[in-house]
Amino acid sequence: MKMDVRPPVDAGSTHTLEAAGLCIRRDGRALLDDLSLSVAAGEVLAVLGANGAGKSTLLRTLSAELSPGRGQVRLNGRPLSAWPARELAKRRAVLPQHSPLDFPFTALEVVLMGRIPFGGPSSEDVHRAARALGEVEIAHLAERRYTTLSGGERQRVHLARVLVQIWDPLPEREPRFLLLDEPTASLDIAHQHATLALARRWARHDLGVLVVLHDLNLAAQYADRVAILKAGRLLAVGAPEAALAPDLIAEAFGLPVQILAHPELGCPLIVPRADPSSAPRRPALRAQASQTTQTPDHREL
Amino acid sequence: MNTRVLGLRANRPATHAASHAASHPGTHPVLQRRQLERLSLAALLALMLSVALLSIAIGPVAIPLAEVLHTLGALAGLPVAEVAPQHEAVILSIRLPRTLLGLLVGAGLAVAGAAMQGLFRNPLADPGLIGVSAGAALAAVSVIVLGGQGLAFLTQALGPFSLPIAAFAGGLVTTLLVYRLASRDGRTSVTTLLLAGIAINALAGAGTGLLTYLADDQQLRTLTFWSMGSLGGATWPEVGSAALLIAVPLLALPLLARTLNALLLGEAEAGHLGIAVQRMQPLIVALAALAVGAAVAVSGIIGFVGLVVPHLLRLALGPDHRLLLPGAALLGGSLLLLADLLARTLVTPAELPIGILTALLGGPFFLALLLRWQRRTA
Repeated sequence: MKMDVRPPVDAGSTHTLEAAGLCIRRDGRALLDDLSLSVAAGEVLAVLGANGAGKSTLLRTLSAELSPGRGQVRLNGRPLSAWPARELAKRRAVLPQHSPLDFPFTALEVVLMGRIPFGGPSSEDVHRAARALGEVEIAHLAERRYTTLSGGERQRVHLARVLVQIWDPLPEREPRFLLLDEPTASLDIAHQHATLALARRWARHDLGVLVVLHDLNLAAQYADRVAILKAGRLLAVGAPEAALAPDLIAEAFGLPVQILAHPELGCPLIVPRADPSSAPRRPALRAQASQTTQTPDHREL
Repeated sequence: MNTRVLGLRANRPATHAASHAASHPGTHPVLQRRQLERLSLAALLALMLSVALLSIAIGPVAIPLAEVLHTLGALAGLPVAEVAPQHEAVILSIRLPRTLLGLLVGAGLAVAGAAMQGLFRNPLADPGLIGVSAGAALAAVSVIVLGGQGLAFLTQALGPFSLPIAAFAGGLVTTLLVYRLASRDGRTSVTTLLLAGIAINALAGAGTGLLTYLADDQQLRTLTFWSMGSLGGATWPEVGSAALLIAVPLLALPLLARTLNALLLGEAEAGHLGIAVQRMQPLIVALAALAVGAAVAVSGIIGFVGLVVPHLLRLALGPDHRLLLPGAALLGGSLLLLADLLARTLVTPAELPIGILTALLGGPFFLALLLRWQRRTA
């Protein structure tokens, strides 16, 4: 089932990063199949989908790392191919899932690399980088060697690096974009929320955020809109309340879910449907469920 | 007593400021370190100049430093005292070209090593280990042995530059080959890199061996020099051709320092930072191969300089290529001159091939690095 909730493609829009009719084929398989999607300045768009649904391919195409076989990506109204690489780098930053960096730079030096598109690091850049480390709550690690940091700390160093890359507003408030590829993958739950809260905070009127996520509930809680991919196609896109419907989630992930309302925020709270046969034995719960069949060994406990 | 107390007081606000530096851009540790870095480059330059003077002064004929300085002064057109003509001849025709050649080769190898490590995103890449030197040597040996026959058209067309150009081409082809083999999707596999190096070293060794078998007596003498490395044959024309070829990467690679820094993040990540990765990578490969090829053409295979020098510098100054590349040129020249000094004084009047010396010192160093790297990734 394909929901017709796609936004109309507006080729003239100058405040979006938009993909129109993207097709990418590798080895006879369609990685992206006529996919159209746009991120507007000011919003957080979460991209969801099962493994292999095309999330990373989409992100790599939006960041000009891959060029589509068919279709086009436009940033602020101009095709990506028409942007000089350096000008593009001043307008959008990309957080990778993993970086192969294995050299003992200090955390601050890694963050400073985000200023490469702007020329040599100045003392203002050092100041920006120190503040960016503060943004991701690791200001105290500024002088630590990157190679001695944990996976989660490294991920946050790179987050600070992409933040300094689009740190300042552009002339005439031209929109900037932040593309995050599974930014929460190696983070503990507190830092997962901190990272999404940061994305929320940064999505101002001239900055759009696209974030690839696995956790449906993080998407429901922090995104303005969610897009669900399946087999390289856009299955649905819209506000979390609309797009995170049980039938769509079941189709995208093959997982039956129940949607509750978040007790505090009211946003959707997605709970996988229980399969009793794969649950551990919980005597107390079972007792509640069927009070009539209490067995003697429960009393012993 | 009084002044000491004052001095202490004056110091206190400074350390206080340093601890709160993060909020004051002017005194941030990064900026303080940058001053230190400039100083350390000056120190490396001083080291290189002193080693060069020693290298000119020390040898079978000991020449006083004052005479060395006077001879160099006279070269520069300064009005200085006369020097014993015998000493002047030794300096001008033997020691000075050899010293300059050592500086050029050491600087070229160390800078090429640092650049390749950046390109491969791995501190274990070394032109010798990954087979680039062997490929360059094979090409050079081919020119020596087949220059009169099969490759005669080449030697006629290129004249005195046929050897360095062949070595450059051999180095370029092997670098590209290794890069193709070891890089997938912008990630480099160290295992593949080193294994590819073993295979290429073996292949090039077999090729060189075959050519050795075909070579006549006179060519054999030249070939021994190639396989073990030596600065012994230093003449002014060689210094000239080496200077011409090595100067290009020595000057150009430091200009690509920021690109190399960005490449350490990954190819895609460098692209996201606005670096034209597809254009820059082949350029870096070509410049590094040029340095190695030219070095091999004039001095044979001298291993481990490209591994040890950048590593020592990273320990002391960090991995930033803006500092690493000029530092590697200075320290590479100094260390190779020191090794040459040892090679020609340890067993006087004979001479050790310098390649054997650098392998003796660099081999254990590499093993220690490998162990540490293994422990870290295990």
